[in-house]
Parts: sequence; structure tokens; C-alpha cells
Amino acid sequence: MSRLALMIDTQRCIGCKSCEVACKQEHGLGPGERRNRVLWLGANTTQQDPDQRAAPCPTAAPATSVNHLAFLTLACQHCERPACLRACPVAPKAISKDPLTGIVDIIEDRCIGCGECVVACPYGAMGYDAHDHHAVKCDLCSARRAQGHTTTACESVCPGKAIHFGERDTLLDKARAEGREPMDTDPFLLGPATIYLADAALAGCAAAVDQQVRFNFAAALKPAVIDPPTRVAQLRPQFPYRAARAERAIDRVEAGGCNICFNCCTTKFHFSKDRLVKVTGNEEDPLLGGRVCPKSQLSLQLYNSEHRLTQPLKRVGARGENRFEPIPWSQALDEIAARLRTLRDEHGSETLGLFSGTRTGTLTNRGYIHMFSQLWGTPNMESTEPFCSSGKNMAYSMVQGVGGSGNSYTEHDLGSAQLYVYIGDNQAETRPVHFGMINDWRLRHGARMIVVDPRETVTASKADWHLPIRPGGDMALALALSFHILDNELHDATFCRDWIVGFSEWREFILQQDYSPEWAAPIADIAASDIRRLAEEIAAADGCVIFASRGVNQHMNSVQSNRALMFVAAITGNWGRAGGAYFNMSASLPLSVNAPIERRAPITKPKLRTSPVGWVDAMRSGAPYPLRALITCNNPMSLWPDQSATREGLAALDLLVHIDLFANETSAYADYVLPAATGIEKGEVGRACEDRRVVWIDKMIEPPGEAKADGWIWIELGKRLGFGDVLKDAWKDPALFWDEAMIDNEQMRGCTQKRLHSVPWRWVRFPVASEDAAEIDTLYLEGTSAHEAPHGHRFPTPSGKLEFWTAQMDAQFSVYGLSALPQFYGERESLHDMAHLQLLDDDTSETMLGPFSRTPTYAARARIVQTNEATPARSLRERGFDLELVTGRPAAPHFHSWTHFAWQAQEMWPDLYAQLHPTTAAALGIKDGDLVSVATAHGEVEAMAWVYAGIRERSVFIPIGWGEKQPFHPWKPVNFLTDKTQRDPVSDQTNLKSLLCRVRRVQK
Amino acid sequence: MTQDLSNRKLFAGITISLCSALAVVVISRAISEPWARPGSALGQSAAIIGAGALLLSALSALLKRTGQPARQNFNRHIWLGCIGFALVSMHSGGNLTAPPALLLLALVSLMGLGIWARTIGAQRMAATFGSKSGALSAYEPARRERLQSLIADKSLLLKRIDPNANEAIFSLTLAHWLGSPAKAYGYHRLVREERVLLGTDHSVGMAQAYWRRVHRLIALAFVIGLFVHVVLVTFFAAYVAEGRVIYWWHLSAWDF
Repeated sequence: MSRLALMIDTQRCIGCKSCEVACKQEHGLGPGERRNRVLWLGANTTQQDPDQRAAPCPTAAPATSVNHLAFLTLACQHCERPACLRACPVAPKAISKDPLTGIVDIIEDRCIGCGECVVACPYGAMGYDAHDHHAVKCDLCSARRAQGHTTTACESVCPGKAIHFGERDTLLDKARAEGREPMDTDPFLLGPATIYLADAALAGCAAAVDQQVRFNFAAALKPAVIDPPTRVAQLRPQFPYRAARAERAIDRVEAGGCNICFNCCTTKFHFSKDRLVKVTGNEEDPLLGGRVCPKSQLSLQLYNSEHRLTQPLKRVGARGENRFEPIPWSQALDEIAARLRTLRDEHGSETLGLFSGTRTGTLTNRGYIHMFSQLWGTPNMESTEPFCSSGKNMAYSMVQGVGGSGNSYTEHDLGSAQLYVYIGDNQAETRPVHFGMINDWRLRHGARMIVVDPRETVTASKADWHLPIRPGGDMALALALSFHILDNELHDATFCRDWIVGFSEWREFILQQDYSPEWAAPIADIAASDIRRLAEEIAAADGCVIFASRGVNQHMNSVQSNRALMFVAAITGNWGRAGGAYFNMSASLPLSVNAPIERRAPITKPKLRTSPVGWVDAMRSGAPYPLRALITCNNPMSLWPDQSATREGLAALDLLVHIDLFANETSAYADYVLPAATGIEKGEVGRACEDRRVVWIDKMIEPPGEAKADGWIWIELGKRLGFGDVLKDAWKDPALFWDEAMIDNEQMRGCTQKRLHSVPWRWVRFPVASEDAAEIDTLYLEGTSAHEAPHGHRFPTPSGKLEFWTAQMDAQFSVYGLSALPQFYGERESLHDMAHLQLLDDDTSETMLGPFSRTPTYAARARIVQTNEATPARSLRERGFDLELVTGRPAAPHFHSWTHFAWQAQEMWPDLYAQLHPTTAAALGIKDGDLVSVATAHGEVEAMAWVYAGIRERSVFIPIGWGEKQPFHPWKPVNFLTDKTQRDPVSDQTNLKSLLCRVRRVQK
Repeated sequence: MTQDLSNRKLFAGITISLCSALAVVVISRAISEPWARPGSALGQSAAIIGAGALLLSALSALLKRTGQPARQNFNRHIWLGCIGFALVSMHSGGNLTAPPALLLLALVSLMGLGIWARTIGAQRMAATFGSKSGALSAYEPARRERLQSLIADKSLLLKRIDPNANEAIFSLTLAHWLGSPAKAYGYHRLVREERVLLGTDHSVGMAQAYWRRVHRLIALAFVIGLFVHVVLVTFFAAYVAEGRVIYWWHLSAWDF
């Protein structure tokens, strides 16, 4: 065997830290102990012009700019002349070097913990166990490989395929064969084995490669908010961390999926005597191949967390005081049922609201709760959709007939595009595994990537071209793209003629409105020439995938922005083909769960509003009718917009029941807190909403204490309310419930337990009409008919074509005061005066019902306010709110509230942060790591400053997910800054992306 | 496998040691019994045993360089140090103004530094991972050339010290220092120069870089001080007594 090594591809590393999590799992490391680490650094290269970037050697790139992100995956370099080994004062040495493999290893029982090796290693790659006082370091997973694994833990999970393990010479040959150049990382002649590959775009360009070698460690480029060592001491790991390898010996492995986010990466659960000791990717999965993001692995820390709720609690103090007494399940459910009956008698059944979310799980959201709501008789049931994705769901339904893209993550579908355009979608941080696939395909096939985002996100840092758009400028950009394409006849005329209804109306409208690049430029803050260039690239590409996500959805023009972007994809023929799509993630599962019609309780009042935050006024004022009870999962008191109003509303309820894994802000206000089970504690279906994959997760372990599966809770509560004949005991078995109740339709019928369990990766891509039906990679191809549509109907719309405009649609839009052809309006709060929307009705009004809603739902009328009228933005700016706040998802290890209970996520990203541009920070006297206060007209929060040149100069970014009751590093949630009244009238989606704010430094 | 000495045990040992020392000092000051004086039979016995324990403690620290079980010897180093400190404090009789109290001060410094290293220092060692920039951001051709020639010099000298050794993984041991001190010193100088070129000591905080050297220096000072003290009280009793009664066991009462 020759020398072994890791090869790190800097072009593929996305800084997600999945490798760190894998390493700590594999080696049982605790807080502060490291064998590897991914450093977030600045880089010397700069944002490049698309021309330069396409050139083989971008020497014209100025070397002074520092506004790029770079990631350095650091682990022991296994040097030929290891400085650590020579510094070790013990004899025989406590550090060894294998003469064959070159692996440098610690002999822990010889190590006295003097730290000389830590001081000696110039790479800073020697770890230290401050608890047991010995050095810790990467040994290329010797013990793991001795158990038969062929690779290291870090490589096995890496979402970006950035880490490669093997014989050094072979790795070098492979890299050179692909035209990749290893960096020179040996200034001290230590002979490091680790290979770092420079950006392939710089291959053959010595000066640029040399630049890449110099990872920039300057203090200003190492954000203080990432991995701060001062925060480590407060963390306490649970088993299996810090346990000896023997205690973690694996005797059982089961396949399943991660249920933390909505993408459900396939995983394997490893047990030692029925105790969960490891969560890894499923290497048998033909698509993901074992790659998982850090969250999936961190679920180990959630299953074993000491912070889990373990018994039902009843409030004994005032709301918010967090004083409870434990009570038995029977008492809790009996009392809740009794109080519900009383409230129903007083106010009617619609007085109950039901809220659930991703944590709750699809079986519960779409199954148990849905049935419960029908049996009880309330229309007020909702999930997190109006906060995340209802705008694009409605847009898809209007244009395509059903939600979600028909494309899939296969190399010959999404992998075959020539161009990837991300608009308001930071896929690298929010769905790292899927971005890893796209980035890999793109690099291997030579496709281009363009990112449109106010921040240089991780996704943007990997792109060929980043366009830092003004927050809220997406719709203007989309309209201008269409304008330029149509004005210059760059569209796919055949597709437009054959497969679009309303194309001519659209063309006429957009040219008439003169939505030109010049018009859009000041709104989007993107040069007209760049808009034209982007349009031309999209039109010219043989396969362009336009990705969009929350950056487009979370606006008052959510539906119309999405439609405008869909039109861009459609008119360029990027719809219903492999490698061409509008891809705003979340393919909703077409599940059909309904209580028998005769058992459904009558509902006499419309749904209050689509968005749960639209229910708050009904809680506070009783208008349009009182909502007096709420059974909620997840954490509305952190994640609903406009926390001041939300908390006032929830505090005013007669009954608040909270079902969750952890005590959080919401449980502090609850009358009853019910401990829930999750993932493998209950059995669950995962929706890979990036794709059309349905992933099954078996129940594998018992939940902690008296915690129960959500299904169990709803069935037991239902029995007490007389629903036991429908919500039957047998359905506490999730697998039975799935087969019997949830998949009885043409698209899902084949997705049975039998089929899901017939493959070791436990997923099936729908639609599958029968157990033996073949999966379809790309839907809506020319010559095919959509599922459940008449023959020849390529798309599942009434016309069988993509629908831009119909008379009926226009009539429906006109109810809101809008038109079916997207007329521009932006956000109310912006630094640029633009047309915006004024809602004519508030949440207490019952003036109109939304014409697009499936169930009768109150909605608001609106009017577009032009810039020549007085705007709220102007008065806000005069009051000093002169920065644009963008909220959004934090880095990869976090997802909403619950990852904040995982100690390692807290080690990586402990504190709420506010990204600020250096120019703005300097003007405000703020340094990286300072405590700052951020205020909008709606509230104020504090956060740590992250001074980052990659954000627009006048923008501020604060992530979601932090809360005041979190055990490790509590912070007031960012939703104190958001506003519940800024909602898209069509989808009820809240603007969370463009709010005027001001920032000041807080004196410590 | 010898267990690591946990911080809890370390604190327990040091607390007991300090409390014992404090109790002796307080009691000795409160009573004026002849047996409580430093030079009494009891005091001298405590001194001899205590000094022995401290010397053994120092020896234990050195044994890690000789092939003896390192962790076991480290634990002995701590425990013997604690015992030695308590006994030497007993010997002091609470007399903290006389020059020998400097030895106690040295012991307290050694203990303080040791505690720092095992607690705060350990945290800093852990936090060092990924905090260095030298190897991955710096590139100076001149330095690389100097290193090249330095490695050649080291290899050449090493052939004379240990012909079978490989420079890449070699470091000096006690045996080399004892066997050929001049060559060992020469090699040590080259190692030090390489360390300077690599920026090793500046790659971490000063306390982290130098704590072991300071610890060793104080320990050496203590050992020398102990030797001087023993020589003075044993042979120069009159000088030590400064005209008072020489009540302790001694061999001669020379004076300067």
C-alpha cells in the first residue's frame, strides 16, 4: 500500500460542515474536540465578469477584492516530516507515523497532554481533548477502515463530493487527468499528504492558482460568529459522544430517512444494544450514495437529547411563566377534550385552529390532523406553507395545473442542463446534498451557474456569475427577462405556439407595459446590460434550469413573481423537457386522506385566512369570528411573522395546546404541553420535495419517557371526542395508516409499504399507479399525457397546456384588484421607491373570499400604489430606517428551532447574527463580533455582527430559528422584526425579505 | 491503560495539599511549640521527605523521555508534587518572610502553572485547531530555501548522532544529551532555528507557547534553590542562624 491521503476539492466544498459532524460521530468526539474542521474564510479572488470567468485564465481579476467566501476543510496533513511528531517530548513517542501508509497517529495512552504537538503543527490541524487531556487527530479513520469500510467518515457523507480518500498517487493521477491542479501547500517543507485542488477555472493559470493557495486568514475574513471557541464550554454532549468505541460497537443497522427538513435524505441508523449510536447516509441509495447534510447526522443528538419533553405537562403559572406540573396522558387528553367541547358549544367548531409543520411530519400534517379537522369541523388548519411556499404552489397550479416541477434529480434530467440560474435560492446551504449533485454535474459537464441573490451566499460563491439583486427586485427582473426575450424574438416559438395558452396576451402585455431591462435596472439594482445578458444566456442554453425558492416566495408579489419567472422558463422552452425547468422546490405529495363525508362535521364559516398569522386578530379581537383554541405543533412563537402580534394573540386564547419534542417559547404559553415522538421513534414518511421521492422511515426505537407519536395523540384525542370509528386505534401503526388511508389515488397507489421496503434505499419516485409501475424521471415530455388527464393533455391543466392567461383566471385575479398577466409591484418597505401593494382589507374583515382557495377562505382586496403617491417607505426612511433587512435560513447545520437543541450545531453556529457590509458597519462603528441592535418599524432584536463584504452595502441579513427559551444560546427571534400585514393577497404569503431597518452597536 | 488524571482529581489533590499547607502555617503561627519550628526533628523530617517527593516528582516528569509509561509518570508527577508541597509547607512552620520562602513561592507558581495548563491551557489547545494561518496562507521562497539547507544540515549532523535515525521523525532524547551533549546541543540549535522559521512559537498565544518552558525553568530554579538551602542549613548553620541558637541538625556551623 502506498501513501494514503485526503484530496479536498475547493471548488466543490460548500462549507456545510457535514464532514465535521461525521467525524465526531465516528470517533465519539465531544465539544471542542476536533479531528477536522471546515473554516469559513474570505478569498483573494474577486467577483468576476462573466467574460473573464469563461476565459481559461482570469488574470484580469483584481486581487485586492475580498468579497468572496472560501472554505478550507482542514484535517491532519499526514506530513512526511511531521512537526508534531518531532515536538512530542515523550519517549517512545506518543505520535507515530506508519512507514507504509504515512498515517500520523496519536497513541493516546502515551500522550500526557502537554500540547507541544498542537503548538508545533503549522497547519493548526492538531486537535486536543481538553477533558481527558490528550492530543486528538485525524488518522484517516483507521479503526473504521479496519471494520471493513473503504473510506473515511468525512468522505462518505460529503454532500459536495469535495472530499476524496485513497492512495495519494492515485488521487493525484485522477485530479490531473481531469485537468485539476493541486495547490502548493508546503511552504515549510513538511511534505503534507493532503491534496487541495484549486478552482478548475483557474487551471493552467499559475498566478491565479498561486492566489488560491493563499487562503485568506485575515481576522476580518474569519467571521467571529462561526465556531467561536468561547461558546464550547457551555455544551454538554450525551451518549454516544465521548463514549469509548467499544461502547458504540454497532450490532444493527436499519435504513430510513432524515425527517428534519423537507428533503428527507436517505439515512442509515446504527444501533448498539438497541441504543442509537450513529446516523449516516445510506450508501446503497443509487442517487444520494450516502451523502447527507449535517442536520441528518445531528438528529442523533436530538434523539438522545436531555432536553426532550418526556411527559404531559399542565400549566400552573401565568402564561409565559413556564411553570407546569406533570400529569398523566389520560388526564391531559380528557381535560383538553372537555375544554374543546365547551369552546365549541360557546363559539362553534370553527373556533379551533390547528397548526403543524415540518417537524410534525407528513403523516400527521396531511393525515391524522387533516382527518381530525374534518371530523371536528374546522377550516382553520394550516401548516407552514404560507410562510414558505404557498405563493409558488399557487403559481404552479395556475400555470401547470399541479404543484411542483416534473423534473427529477437524475444526471440525464436536471444533470443535463447547460445553464443553472438560481434566483433567491441558496440551495448550497439549505439543501446541500442536492446542490452537491447539481454542482457536480455542472462541473463535470461544463455547464454554467448564475446566482441572483442580494447576498453572496454559499451558492453564489460557487457560481460563475453572481448578480446581487436588490431585495424584492425579482419580479422586475423576471418581467425584464421576458421583455428582452420577446422583444428580440429569442423565445422558443414552437413551444409557445403549441403549449402555452395566453402566450400572445402575455407578449402583447409585456411589450405594451415596456418592462424593459432599462426599466427594471433601478428596481432590481442590476445593470440593464446584465439583465439582457442573462436573458440571452437563458434563451440560448440548450437546457436551462431556473431555480427559485424563498427569496422569490416570501414577498407580497409571491404568486406573480413566481408566475413571471415560470413564463421565462416556458417561453424559452424550458418546461417539460430533460435539463430544462422552472424549479421552485417542493413537490407536494398528492395524498388523499379524507374522513367519510357522512362523518364530517358541518363547517359553516370560511377559513379565517390562509396564513395562520392571519388568525391572530381573530384571537385578539374575535373578528371576523373568534378563534379561542389552538392546538399547535412546532414553534409559532418564534417562527410566525410579527412576534409581538402573534404572542399577543396566542396569550389571549382560552386553550393553547402545544405538541412538540422540546419545551420552547410556545410551550411556555401553553395550557398543556404534550411530548411528541419523532422520526424513528414513531415511523414517518419523508417527502423529498426537491424531487418526487417518497421516503419511508420505520419506527425503530421507543420515544423517551412517556412521549408519544403525533398520530397516537390525535387518535386518542379523537376518541375522546367521538371520532374513534374513523380515527381508529389500528392506525396508530403508521405503516398501516399509510397503506390504508393515504395513497388511494392514481399517482400514489403504487407507493405501498411493500414497494418502499423492496429497495434498500426506501424510496419511490411518484407517480406510480401500481406497485409494479415504472418510475418516471421527467414528466410532461412532448408526446406524453399527464397523469389523470385526458389523452393528449401534456400538462395537467384544463387545457392540457401551460396557462399564462385565461379569461377565467383574469376574472379571479380581478377579485383581488390584480390582473392575470403579472403587472409589476414590489415591496412596501424598500430603499428604492417602487410601485407596491396596498391591502384594502385587514384580517378582521369578511369582505371577500379568495377565488383560488380550495375551501372558502377570507382574503383581502388590494390595489397597486404607484410611486407618485406617498409611500410608507419614504416616511420610514425619514425616521432613520435606512437599511434593507432580509431574513432567511441560516447555514446548513440549522433548521428552524429544533436543531438549536443539538449541541454540535451550537458549537458551529451558536449565536444569532446580522450580516452587515463593511462600509455600513464602519459607518456605524461596528466591528465583526460586536453586539448590535436591529430595529424595524415592527420590533427590535439583538444579534452579533458578522461584517461580510458579500452582502449588498445597504442590506442586512438575519437568519431565522433562534428563540429565547433555547437551552444553549438563546436569542430573541428575528420575527420580532417582521410584519404580519405585508402579505400577498393571492397566496397569503408574508414578505420576509424586504423590510426597512436600522442598526446600532450595543454597548456591552 | 493508565487513566488520565481528571481535573476533578487534580483539584482535589491540590486543594488537600493547599489546605494542609495552610493549616500547618496557621497552627505553627498560633502555637510556639518547639516541634513546630522548621528545624525541629519533625520539621526536618518533613523537609527531607517533602524534598524527596518533589525531586521524585521532577524525576517522574523526566521519565517520560526514557521509555517509562508516560501517563503513569505524569500522574506520579502530580501526586508527588502535592505531597511534597504539603510537607515542605509544614517544614516552613509558617515562616514566610525568610529567604527560603522563595522556594514555597516557586512551588506555588509551579502548581498554578500546572493548573492553568490542565484547565485554561487545555481549552486553548483545543481551540487552536484551525486557528493557524502560516502554512496555508504564507509563501516565501527565501524561507523555503533556508529551510532546505537547514534540513540538510540537520540530516548531516544526525548521521553523527544516530546514523540509523530519520530526520523526518527524529527528536533528541535524554540519552542523546547524556551521550553526546555537544552534538545534541548543535542539533538542538538547528531545531530551534527551524521552529523560528516555521513561526511555531508565534502561532499560538504566549502562555500556550511558553508555559512548559517557564514551568521547567521554575522547577530548575526550585531544585537549585533547594540544593543551596540544604547546603546552607547543613554546613553554614551559623550564617543561617544569624546569631540565634542553632537548634537544628547540621554538620558544621561555618559562616561567611
